[in-house]
Amino acid sequence: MLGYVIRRVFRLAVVLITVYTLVFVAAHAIPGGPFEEGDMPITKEALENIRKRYRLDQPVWRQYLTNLWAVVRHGDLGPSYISAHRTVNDILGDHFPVSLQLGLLSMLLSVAVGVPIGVLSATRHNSWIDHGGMFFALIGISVPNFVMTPLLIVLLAVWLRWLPSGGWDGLLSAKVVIPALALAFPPAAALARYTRSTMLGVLGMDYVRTARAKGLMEFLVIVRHALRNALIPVMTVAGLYLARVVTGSFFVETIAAVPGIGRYFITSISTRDYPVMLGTTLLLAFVVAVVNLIVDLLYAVVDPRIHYA
Amino acid sequence: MPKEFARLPEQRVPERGTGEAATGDHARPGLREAQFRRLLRNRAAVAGLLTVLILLALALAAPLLAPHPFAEQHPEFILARPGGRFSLGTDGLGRDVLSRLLYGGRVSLAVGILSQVVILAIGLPVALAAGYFGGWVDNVLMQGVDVLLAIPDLLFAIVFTTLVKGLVEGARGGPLAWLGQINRVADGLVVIIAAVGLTGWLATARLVRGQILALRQQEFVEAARSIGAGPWRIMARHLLPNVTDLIIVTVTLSIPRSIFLEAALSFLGLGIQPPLPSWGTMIADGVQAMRFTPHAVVAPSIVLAATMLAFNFLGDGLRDAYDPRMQG
Amino acid sequence: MRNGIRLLLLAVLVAALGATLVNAAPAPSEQVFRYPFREPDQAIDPTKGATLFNGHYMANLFEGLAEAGLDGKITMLGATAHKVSDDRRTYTFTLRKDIKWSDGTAVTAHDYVFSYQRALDPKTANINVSSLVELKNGKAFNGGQLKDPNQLGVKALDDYTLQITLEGPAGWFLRAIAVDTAWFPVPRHAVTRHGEKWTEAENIVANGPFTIQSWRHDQQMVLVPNPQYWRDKPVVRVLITMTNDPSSTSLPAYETGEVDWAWAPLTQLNQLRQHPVLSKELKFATQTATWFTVFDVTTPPFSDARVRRAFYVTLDRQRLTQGFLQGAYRPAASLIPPGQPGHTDKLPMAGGVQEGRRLMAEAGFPDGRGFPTVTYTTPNLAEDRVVAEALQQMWKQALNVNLQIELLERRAFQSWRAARRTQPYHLHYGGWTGLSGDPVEFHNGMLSSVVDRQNHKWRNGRYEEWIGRGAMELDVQKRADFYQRAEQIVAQDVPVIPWGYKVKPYLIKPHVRGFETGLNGYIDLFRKIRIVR
Repeated sequence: MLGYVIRRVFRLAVVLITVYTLVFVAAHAIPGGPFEEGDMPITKEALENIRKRYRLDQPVWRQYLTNLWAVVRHGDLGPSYISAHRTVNDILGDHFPVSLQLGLLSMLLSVAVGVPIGVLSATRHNSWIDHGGMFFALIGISVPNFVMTPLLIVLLAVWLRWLPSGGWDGLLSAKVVIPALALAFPPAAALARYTRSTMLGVLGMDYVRTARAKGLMEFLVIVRHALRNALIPVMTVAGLYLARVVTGSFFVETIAAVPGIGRYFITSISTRDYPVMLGTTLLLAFVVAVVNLIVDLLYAVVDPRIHYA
Repeated sequence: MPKEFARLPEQRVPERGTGEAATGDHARPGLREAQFRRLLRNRAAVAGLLTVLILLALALAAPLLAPHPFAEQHPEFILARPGGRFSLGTDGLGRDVLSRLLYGGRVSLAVGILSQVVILAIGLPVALAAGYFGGWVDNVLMQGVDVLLAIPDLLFAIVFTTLVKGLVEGARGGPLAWLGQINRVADGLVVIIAAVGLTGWLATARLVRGQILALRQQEFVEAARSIGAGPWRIMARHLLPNVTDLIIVTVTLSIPRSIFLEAALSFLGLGIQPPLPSWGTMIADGVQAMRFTPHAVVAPSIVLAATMLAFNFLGDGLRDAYDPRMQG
Repeated sequence: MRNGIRLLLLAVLVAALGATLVNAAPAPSEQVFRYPFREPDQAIDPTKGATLFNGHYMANLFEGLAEAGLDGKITMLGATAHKVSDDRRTYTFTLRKDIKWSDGTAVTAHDYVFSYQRALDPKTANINVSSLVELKNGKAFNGGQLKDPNQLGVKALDDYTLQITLEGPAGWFLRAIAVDTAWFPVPRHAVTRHGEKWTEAENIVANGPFTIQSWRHDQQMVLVPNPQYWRDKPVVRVLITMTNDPSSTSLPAYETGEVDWAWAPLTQLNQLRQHPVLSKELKFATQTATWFTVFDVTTPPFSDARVRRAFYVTLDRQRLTQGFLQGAYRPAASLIPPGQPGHTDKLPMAGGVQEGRRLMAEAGFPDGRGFPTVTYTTPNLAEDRVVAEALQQMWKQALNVNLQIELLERRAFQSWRAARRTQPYHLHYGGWTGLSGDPVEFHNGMLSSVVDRQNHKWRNGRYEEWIGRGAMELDVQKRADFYQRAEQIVAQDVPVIPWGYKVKPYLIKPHVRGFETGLNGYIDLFRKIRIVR
């Protein structure tokens, strides 16, 4: 088990360095740099000064090596070009926790809604509950969140005046509801679908029939025998969405004014803020890898047949 | 939904590999018929199929059906509400929303469907090579796919749109000149299709590779090998035909993802060149005016959602029809 | 596992309950002005990037030597008096002795010297040195050729006497020190002590009406009255809620009463004007920014001035700005915005279809025949796209020419344009923002072939002469005359087609009084705000 974890961590390091390299190359390959003449007077000298300050005047390979070394050696992701008074480490430290909290809440919400819908749909196969549940699920998958978020804001905040229109004041503020709902919708939908289909598979198995034959209460059959065995694929899906949801969504965060890390990721691309771009991508890759590792380890907990050597 | 399909099958491959479609060498004709009948019994899938066909017909017939030219502006009717001269209202430039929906369907469906060509062109060779040769080839390729999967696909898409754009549009002479030509005529469609395709092949590659890995152990492949068939022949004649079912399902489920990605790119202002509309650009423009004139965003959103819904229904149905155990 | 699920459900329930119990809208207490804005891009340090967006923060935290009224009148602020030398290059300011930084330290001439030296020091890497480079030796010092900061045209003759020497006579100078935040001072002692982090809430020292009480990045900044402020102290606290994209997202928060001020979304102006409540709260501030279309005058078909002029007279400004853009821009005929010497609205703004067709025929393109498809390149921001598509149809109808639109992402556009200095193109989007509200910024600083910021590659001797004289002249009336002559030449020779002045539409609650948008229309000033209920 420990050996397995060590190997995974080693692989993670390789993945992160490769990701860093790829994104670095991509960042420098797209046209336009962080400091360009815009719609206001910027002198040639001033441009040169700022490029020199951030070592953008050096050959790209040297920038790559210097920056990579700083990351590996000191965990220093460098200064942000655009938020000039903050380093990338500052930015990740300030904003990742927000996305993380919001993401965890959304994930709880989507598990709490998605799994029961899936179970109900499976146990009442082909009933109106099943159809209704799956229709909800497909809507959740089909409506993009850049439509869902403004929709929720106009509906819940502006028309009904039930909730504030967005912002962030920690998890216990009503401001969290709209972004959390918007984020929770797609994973809830996916969880409902996967739970249903794996439950359908499991419910036909012999041991479930045996349990029923023993005269066990239907509820217990479902929860203790069926759901437990249906959990593995569901966990995989939950893990995938968890990684995505805790790293923030650009659309939800921008539209609902949440100071999370997701929007930094997209804006850093459009402003060519290379260090922020690299920092956020590394963070995202790291979180995805860690969540995957946790999910894999959880398999062993849920399913005694799985061992990691 | 980008990555969920990429990972799930890997978990399930060991339990599978002996599915109906994968047992024999070539799929038997009788089986095809049975599959088709199974599909027709699935009401959701049939509804999805019909919707897709209707949408395709509407998009193709756009010039006949559109009540107004899609680029015609009416400055005195900016964001006019539905009804009267404009049955679905007008957008921020006073253009008929219905006409733009019809033409936008051409773009969105074209991106959704044509990007699959790019996806398969990259994904299949990778999957075949990894699955057939196994060993270090598989290791290297799949490690690569894993690394790329760790990078958010929106980043990919953004980088590719900017990169491909430079490449295609810069190519006035040279080997890519014809692409540039088409791209200019098609208002930047080539760029979007390429970018969406380049972003989307990872999941497909992973999925197909799993299936090939399982097939490789089958007797008929061993048999072919023993009579001296080379790897290319085995791949082309024995492996590929046996994964067509899976490919059809994957492609059907990958189309809504491409449509969605196009919409997201358009939302960020990286979509198609105006005045040609796509549902994504219509949504992006409409969201700005959502507060008082929601019709401009509601109409394309509903159509986009319905399209994705239809492809998802159809894809699910196909999956159930080909191999009930494939579902997940 | 069952317990796990039960626990999970419980947690969600508690979280949901907690969320609903905490009250939604914060109670609007007395004398708090709640305002949405963006987290500043660069530091809010006047010596490091005086962009207009950050100018917003800077103008409420710092004050310079002079200030400008909304009518454009300049009055001394940090100085009690100033003397101009005979050669009109040297200005000597006598500073007020009663101005203090928020920590009680006096604001002295040394602070100004330190600020301008710091702003121009290559090591500071100030992206926007603005008109500071016009200080004597400014360019050489900023470019690194000159090492000694004492050679710079700024000296402290004593603690309260500041001497500024410019490269040449400058009619724009007093306007610049009043409006452009690049000329505002920074506290020498605080900057030396805290370095780059001196603008953070725990370190900042300010001399303006406000100072920062707290700043949670990208979330909220609280501005409180500066206890040492020498004029009438402000009465409000300002709660700036920071969002990524306030211009398109602040309306809902405004309607629910979470903020007292909002950017009016440009695409909803028509609807806002008809709204029973919001129409009364809708205001417009004209900004010192002009939007236009740029030609490459060396590339056919636009190398022919008749073709350019035909495009000029057929651009219907009224229809574009009031129709398509719903009044988010004001129709423009000159580059120089209203309120500045040389502005004019006496040039043709629409209705030249007949003349345009005649000019096209003369140039060899009767009814657009034989005219090649031309490409209009523009950044992909929402309004720019509207403009592009409107122009496309407008010129199609008037001249029967085909315009192809090339949308580029903003940074890609900037680097594309930078490369057009040597490469050919047809026409592109143009917009220019004045920092100090003086015509030099639009002519000498942008259109002149000396700088050619838009890469139009146009050169006209008579034009250069008029703008040269306009920049040096101190008499406002004469300057206006010189710049108007220059504008006439632009209208005839058409290197660019000015079509609109940017307007900032905003909504403000009726209980807020004394809100000002400043001379350039960008910088909102909170000093005089009172909340009246």
